[in-house]
This record gives sequence, structure tokens and C-alpha cells, in this order.
Amino acid sequence: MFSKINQIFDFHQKSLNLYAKRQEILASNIANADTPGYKSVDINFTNELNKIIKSNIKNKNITLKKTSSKHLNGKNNNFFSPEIISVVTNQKKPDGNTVNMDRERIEFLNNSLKYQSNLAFMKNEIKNIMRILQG
Amino acid sequence: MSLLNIFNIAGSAMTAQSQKINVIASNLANMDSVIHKNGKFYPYVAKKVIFELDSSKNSKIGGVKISGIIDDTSPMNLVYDPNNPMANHKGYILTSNVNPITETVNNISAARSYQANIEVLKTAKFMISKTLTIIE
Repeated sequence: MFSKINQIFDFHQKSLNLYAKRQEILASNIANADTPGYKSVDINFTNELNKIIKSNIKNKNITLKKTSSKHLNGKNNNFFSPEIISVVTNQKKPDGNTVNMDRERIEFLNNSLKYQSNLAFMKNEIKNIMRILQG
Repeated sequence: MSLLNIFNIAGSAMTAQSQKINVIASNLANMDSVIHKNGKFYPYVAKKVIFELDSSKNSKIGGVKISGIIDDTSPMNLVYDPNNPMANHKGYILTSNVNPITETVNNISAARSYQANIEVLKTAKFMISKTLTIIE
């Protein structure tokens, strides 16, 4: 039963992580709006989410060093590094900066609301489970 | 956690922008100042702040850091003021190259960027506190 619950939350956890990562990238774009030569970056959310859902294989790159046979194996399926791509904008300042402030702020807000809606769905599911458990 | 990194990113940008405002204030304040160096008098030279991406290795994103404060290379102003003790034999004196209009515009721009980063911080804080409510 708990593996089922785990499955429900797994997807939410992964998408929340991805939203948080994207939020960080957008924050970096806003922070560097005045930095000469900075290129506006973003991730392709659909592709990255698909990639995460498909790859249920544990990340092989992270292994814990074991000094005893009784040590547990490291488990890390939250670790992911999305592919960061440059955004094509028509905004080109003389110093080589390509950050379009309007676009970044709208996306920032948009991403934040999506994160919160995802959170609301997750909360609802927790509520449902609690209701069933309490009978 | 990605959301906590936003605090560092926006925070570094705010530090950089306030440093820029600091330099602008210094430029405006010293518009008429004279520097005494090696027994000679020079007019004050406007300073400029250069920003740089402060990223950890092989990462395209990150905060902002100040890579340096350089002298403005625009030419000094020549003002006719024959009564000034520093005037040359034609009656002209060199004055600082600070352009008050440029400085004011830069000041507004830096203040707006600072505000944008505050909004980013607010949103990140709100998202984190919202996330914490699911354990209630």
C-alpha cells in the first residue's frame, strides 16, 4: 500500500523539483539583467519532465563509498540536471546581454503559480488519504 | 534545494546593484571635486561598475559579482572661468567628466533592478512557506 502512496507522490515530487529548478534559472536571468555578455537561459519543461518520468533508473553517477558489506546502497532518483538552453530573444543590448525583463518576470510569475497549483493538488491527495485512513 | 539558491542569486544581485548606486552617489557628490596628486591638481574622474556572472563551475546560471570599478574614459570638460586660480593662460579649467544626466538615469535603472530582485525574493519566500504548509 505504501508503495502506491509513494508512486502518487513521486510524480509530484519530481515536477515540483523541476519547477523549483526553473524558478532558480529565471531568478538568475533577472539577477543578471545588467550583466554584460550574459545570455538569457531556460529549460524546455516538457522535454525535461518527460525525461524524468521515463528514466526511473537510479542515477549511476552517484555512488556511496562503502567500507563494509552491511552498508546500504545509495539511492538517489531525485538527482537530475536539466539541459539548460539559451533563449532566442529579439532583445539585444549593445553589451551582449539578451535578457528580456518582461518575458522573465512573466515566466517567473507563471512558474511560481504552476508550482503552487502542483502543491495544491498534492495537498489534496494527502487530504484524501488521511480521510480514508481515518475512516 | 533550488528554491534556497534563489536567495543567494537575488541577494548577490541586490548587493551588486546597491554597490552601483553607491558609486553613482560618489560620482554625483564629487562632480566639482579636485584630486591632489604628486603636487598637481586633477579633476575627479567618473567611476563605473562592471558586473560579471558569478557562476559555479560548468553552470550557465548564477548570481552577480562586481568584476571591477573602472574609470570612465569620456573626455574631461573644459570650462571658461578666468577668475579660477587653476585656470590656464587662456582662462580655461578642466572639470570632471561626470555627466549628471547619465548618472541619474543609471541610478533609476539600478534602483529598478534592485526592486525586481526584491520581488523575486518575496516570491521565493512565499513558495517555500507554502511548501512547508503541506506538512501541517
